Amino acid sequence: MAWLDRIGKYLSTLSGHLVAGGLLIHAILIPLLFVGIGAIVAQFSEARFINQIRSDSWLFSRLLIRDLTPEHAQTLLDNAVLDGHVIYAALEMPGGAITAKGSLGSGHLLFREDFFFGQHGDGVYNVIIPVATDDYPDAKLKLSYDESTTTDHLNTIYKSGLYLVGAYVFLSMIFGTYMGMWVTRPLRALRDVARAVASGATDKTLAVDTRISEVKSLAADLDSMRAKLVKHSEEIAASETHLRAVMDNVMDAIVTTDANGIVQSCNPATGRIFGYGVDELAGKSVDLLLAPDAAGAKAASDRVMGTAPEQPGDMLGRRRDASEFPIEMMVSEMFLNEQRHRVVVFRDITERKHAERELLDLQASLEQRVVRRTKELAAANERLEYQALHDALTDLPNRVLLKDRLQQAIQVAREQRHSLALLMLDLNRFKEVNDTLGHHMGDLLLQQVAKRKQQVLKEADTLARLGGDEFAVLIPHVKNVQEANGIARRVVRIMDEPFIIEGHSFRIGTSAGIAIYPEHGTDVATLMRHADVALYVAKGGNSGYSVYDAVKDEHTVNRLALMNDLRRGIDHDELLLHYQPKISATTGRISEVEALVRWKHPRRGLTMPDEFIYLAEHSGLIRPLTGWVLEAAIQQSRSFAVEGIDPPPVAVNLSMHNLHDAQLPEFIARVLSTWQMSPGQLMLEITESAIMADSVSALDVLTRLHYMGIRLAIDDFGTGYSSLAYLKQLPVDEIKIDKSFTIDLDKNPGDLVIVRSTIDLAHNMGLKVTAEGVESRKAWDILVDLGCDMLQGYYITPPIAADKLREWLVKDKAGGFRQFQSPRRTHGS
Amino acid sequence: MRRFGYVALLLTGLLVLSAGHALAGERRLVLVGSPELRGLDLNAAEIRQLFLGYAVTKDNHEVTAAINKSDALLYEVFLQKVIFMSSQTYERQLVAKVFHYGGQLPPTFARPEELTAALNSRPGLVTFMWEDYVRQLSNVTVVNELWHGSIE
Repeated sequence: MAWLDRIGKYLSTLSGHLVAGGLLIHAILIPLLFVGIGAIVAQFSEARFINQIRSDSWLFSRLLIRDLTPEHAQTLLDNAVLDGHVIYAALEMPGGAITAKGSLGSGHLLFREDFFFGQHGDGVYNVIIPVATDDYPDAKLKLSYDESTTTDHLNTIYKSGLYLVGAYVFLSMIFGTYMGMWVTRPLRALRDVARAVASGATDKTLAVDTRISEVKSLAADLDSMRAKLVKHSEEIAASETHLRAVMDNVMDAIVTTDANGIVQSCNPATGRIFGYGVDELAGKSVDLLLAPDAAGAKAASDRVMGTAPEQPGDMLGRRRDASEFPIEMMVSEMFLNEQRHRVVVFRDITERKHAERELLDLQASLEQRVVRRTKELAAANERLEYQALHDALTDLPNRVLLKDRLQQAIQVAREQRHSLALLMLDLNRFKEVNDTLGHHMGDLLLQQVAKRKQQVLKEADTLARLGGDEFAVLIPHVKNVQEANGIARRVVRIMDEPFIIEGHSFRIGTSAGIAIYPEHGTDVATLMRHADVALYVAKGGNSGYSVYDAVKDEHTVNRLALMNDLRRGIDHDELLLHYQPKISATTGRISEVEALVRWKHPRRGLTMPDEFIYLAEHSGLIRPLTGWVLEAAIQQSRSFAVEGIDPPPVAVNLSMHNLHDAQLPEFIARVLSTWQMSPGQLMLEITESAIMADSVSALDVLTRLHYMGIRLAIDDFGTGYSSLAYLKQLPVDEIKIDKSFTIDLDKNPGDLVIVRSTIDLAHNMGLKVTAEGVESRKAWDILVDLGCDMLQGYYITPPIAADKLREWLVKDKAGGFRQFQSPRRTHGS
Repeated sequence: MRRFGYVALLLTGLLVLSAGHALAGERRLVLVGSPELRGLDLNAAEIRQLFLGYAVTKDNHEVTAAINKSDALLYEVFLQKVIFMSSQTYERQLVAKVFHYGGQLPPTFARPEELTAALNSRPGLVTFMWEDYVRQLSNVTVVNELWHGSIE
């Protein structure tokens, strides 16, 4: 049966299908064609046979009917039979008698007329034709024709047709087989190439040598498909490699499970983290990776199973060796092939937890330190605030705090509709004590003064030290002026009592000026100014105290007018500068010049500063006044420089009110920048009392000026009462010895001692020393001998105008002043 | 007498048989038309002329023929006894006559009821039928006998 298998295989091929299909088509169509043609041919042959019989028999009957005599009939019948087509002919007369007949054989035993070919199946077509005549009305001609000729003819046609069909089928098989092979040859070639491509030869081109366009197109399409598939496969392979590399190198464990939490796959990190082999977990529950006793194990399992909200959470994982460790688990859902899967990501957070614990410890420690530091800072701030608001010597509130409390008291008094009193106090003979017994005794005296005054005051009252020997008392609630007078009287009286300090007894006395809110002012500044005026009046009286009285304030109108004039004068450049040089004791040349303001009043004429500085300080005009002086001095220096005259550093005096101006450093910096002047060319002179009046604020402003590069000098040194320890902290470059020590230097040995000590002390502190008030050659010589660095005074020159200064500077540049160029000598030698 | 009786009985039987046989095979092919054509005597040539597609006018009747193809035997008997042609030749002859001389082909009916209705609706239309079938019809009359004889 091997050949049957071969046929079966062959039929399963395309060629076999083509051949079988062809054969099937021919097997169906050829018989149909054969039968159809045969039927047509048979019908045609039979029709022709019948037509011939019918026409022949009719013609024959027409011949016979002309003469129905037996002889004639017999002759015709014989001829008809002899013709070979008719096998029987008979003329039947009425009654059935045969008068003539012709026959090739024994004749027919049964004559049955036919109307169809092959009717009766006797191979004979019988026909009866009436041949009636008048003589023989019922005569009939009976003719029998042989059907076999037509039948044989048809049989021959059928046989030939069968042979042709057989040959046709045979040739169809041969040609079909050949055509099948011819058609499938390129397909087979294509198949071979495709197999080669499938087995790895992806660079093989899918092409065939054929004229069949469809196969050509198929080959081209397949090759295009091959190229795309190869490219796609390469991309997929690259992507898969990339993805695999990522999965293999990711630090987190990534596990995929089915909807029931059964592990389907996991990455190498899973093995590393949990201690399992990669294939070991497949088919097992993901719960295996979670600590069973952990509080969150059930929740974790629920999350994997998709029954709980999916949020990242911390829990305990379990390694293969049953050890537990903190993990963070994230679950996400994915659908693959219409099936729900879970992607579970485990992250080992052991180190993070450890770090968190350390961080928490660190945070706790830090919080403790912060709390401690905050407390320390608060205490420091409290101390600083206290220092900023209190006088260091007496521990009393200073001017700043007094103003603040006065402001609050005014507000309360306004709201509660009552009066308050402000007392300005000034010691009458403090300067003598200070000058005579020194600052130490002065300091001790001030401390006792403070304590004594507090004895007569209530706790709600505020006693403040404003600076020097100035004190103020705020009485937040007084019924009337008389009550304020009573308090002032008690204060004056108690201050008249002698003070005993280190065995010395002093009577210094005090004066008090009283201003009442709201009668004498409704704001801090007015009340303080009026209390000041009252104090001024009190000093001239005998009672020791005075209540402010506008009538008695003979200066009020003048002062107001002067204040307005000053304001206008500043705006209209009525001010001008005079300069007093400082001569170097070493070189005899100009070291610095001090700028001194003058006011060219339209009516009063040239007015000295002691007539308007106090007014400016107490009217808020000190700020624009100082600003004008600074700008004018710097501008003049710049003008000298432009003229080619090398200007010496210029010194400008600052009021204590300027030291409360936090904007001063910025203002000076702006002016210096505007006139392109170096900060080192500017020196600022501040009195000791100005610094000590508000030492904290002064220190802040002076420090900022110092860091700007501006030099600082303490003016009127020796008249104040500051401690050297405090002065040491000040960023000053120079001290100027007050003229009270130099004027009688040659006559007063005490002054000589003080000046020498001051110079030595200043030099030891690295400071320059300028002596003010040098009014004689003798004083000049002594100060030079004492080592004073610079000298200033009427002996050299009184303050001079800018034009005169220009001449001085020109002369100084030309060689200096011979009279100032004396050699240094040792005092007393 | 007894012998005579048997012979008589045999002859009677034969006669009955032969009469039955004759009655069973005897068919009559008749030309039929509407009752108006009753008595119209057409000879064989006129009948043949009619069925070859020509109109015949006789006795003030214009007579035309319709071909009855409702019975294959009837049609073949008609061809063999009246037309003397095979069916193919006859139909070619009809077509050739139309081509040569114009006119129309004789209408051909395959359903006898339609043919009967045509005979009733068109006076002068004749066709051929078996006489025994004609007897069942009321509005059709036999115009001529075309043939009679036995058919086996």
